[in-house]
Amino acid sequence: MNRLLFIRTTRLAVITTTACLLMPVGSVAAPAVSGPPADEHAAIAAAPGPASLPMLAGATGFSPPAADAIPDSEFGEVVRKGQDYFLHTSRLLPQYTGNSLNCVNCHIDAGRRADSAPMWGAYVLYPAYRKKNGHVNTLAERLQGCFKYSMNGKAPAADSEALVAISSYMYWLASNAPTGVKLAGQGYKRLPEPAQKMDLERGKAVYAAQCAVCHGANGEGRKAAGVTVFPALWGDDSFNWGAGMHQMPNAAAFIKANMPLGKDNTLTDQQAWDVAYFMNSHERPQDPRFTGDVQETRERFHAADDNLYGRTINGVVLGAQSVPSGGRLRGQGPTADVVAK
Amino acid sequence: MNRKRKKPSGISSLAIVSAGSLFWLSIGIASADDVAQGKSIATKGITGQAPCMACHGANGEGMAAAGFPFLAGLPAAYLEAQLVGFAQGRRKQAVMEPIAKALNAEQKKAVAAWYASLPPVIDPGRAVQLQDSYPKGKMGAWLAQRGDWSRALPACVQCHGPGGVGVAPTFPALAGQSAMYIKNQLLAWKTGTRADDPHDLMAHLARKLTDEEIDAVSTYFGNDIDAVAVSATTTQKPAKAGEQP
Repeated sequence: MNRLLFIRTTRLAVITTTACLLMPVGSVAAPAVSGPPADEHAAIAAAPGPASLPMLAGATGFSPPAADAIPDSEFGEVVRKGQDYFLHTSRLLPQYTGNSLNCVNCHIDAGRRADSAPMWGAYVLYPAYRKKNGHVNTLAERLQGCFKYSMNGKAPAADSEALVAISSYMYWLASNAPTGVKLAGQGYKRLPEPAQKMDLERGKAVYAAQCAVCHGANGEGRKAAGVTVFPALWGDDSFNWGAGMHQMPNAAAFIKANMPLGKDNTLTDQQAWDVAYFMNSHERPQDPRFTGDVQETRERFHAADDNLYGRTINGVVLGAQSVPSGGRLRGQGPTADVVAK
Repeated sequence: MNRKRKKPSGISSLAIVSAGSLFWLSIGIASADDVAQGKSIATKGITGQAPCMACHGANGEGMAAAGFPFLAGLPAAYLEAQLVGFAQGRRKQAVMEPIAKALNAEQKKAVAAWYASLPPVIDPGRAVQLQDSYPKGKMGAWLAQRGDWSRALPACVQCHGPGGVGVAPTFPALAGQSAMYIKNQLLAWKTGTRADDPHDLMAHLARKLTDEEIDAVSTYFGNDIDAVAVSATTTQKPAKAGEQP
């Protein structure tokens, strides 16, 4: 257990450096690494650190209400609306989404599934202090980050109909959960450090064998009649360099626990790390916080050893050729309604 | 979308090959000649074998009452892979096996190209209308649209596309097939007489389904989803609050 704790702490250091607002917890003694945490999405995506939060452990864990038990009421209507946004984000909220992903792509089972960064786990951790911007963030502000980074889009206003509906859905999922507690199954379940250094060629082979049948040989994903079925994993239609999923620990943990869909936990830990590395060795839309200089942006937001932004892969400096963030919303004004600096 | 498998599809087929699914190995590039040859096989048959249209209909529309599936508009890669599966015995079916064995690789490709070139039985443009994110109280619809993640059972539409319209090149349409055909397939996957899927993706899910669930989900795609689509065009969200007090 001590060893585990040690590993966890080491990992935590790496994570915080990179970026994650993994921990919306002010009282955690942050590792003495400079640079603000970068990744908005990880706050919901990943587990908060050990810290002062009580842990609700136990094999049973928390269960959200039955999926078909949304109340038949005015409130329930909004909850259902939030669920619809969650499932069909890019179609129903085109004004905020620069790619064609949907929340459910990374939060399986409509945000209900444990170890898939479930919404009931995230809901009870906000408001939270975040080092990134040095103030207490509401859930709404946190969700704005999802749109800006993972959806490569534009943040809805905090009191927008979209965020009211999504947070209502999250509140309902967290019915009867204790607040301020890291629930078992929250975030993505971190994998032990890879036994072997992550490897591009091995990752490529895993991808070809296990992933390409759905996500396409070039990570482009697949649509049917214009509707995303399998999300794009890199490229202009995917999440941008600021999203939590571009970080190796998040991606590996998500993949191990959820991919291939319906065949979770069939990859070895090493395969999950390797294929995460392969996925994130490709170009994707620029980090919206891009300073104009890739190496400077790397130092500020992507400093983790295993972060590939700014690194040279196959002769290409990742981030140097990125299309600007914003996807199909490019050229439609600022990437966020809100200034959260 | 691309019904004729020309170069781009050939390339994506190669991608599938590299995906390690040996089944898809033989899938290549089809041409207009293939389509013409395929039409000939479909309508006239080859020596000693019944023509495809005898069971699958003049326009590839299938024969629902007998459980013969529609083929029109399905992806060529998928159709060709089925013929390979029949020929190699991984998809067991007494009528199809000898026919598939009698077709050489080129003929398989040709007949697949022909059926892929026909106007689809279902209208993929209705896909969005066929989405139903909260089909409360309906077992088949719920499994199809939401799955049962407490058993790690994804929704059918998560691979077969919105409303089950299919996702080329690998995942065939479910909407528009007969309930009997879908039920027979789920039972075949479950019992192992159909085992030609990449990575056991379908079979391992079918094994989790109870007979009651198989009935329910087959009926949903075979019968109910059309009704949903029709009403959805006018009311968009049928039965919002109606089934339960």
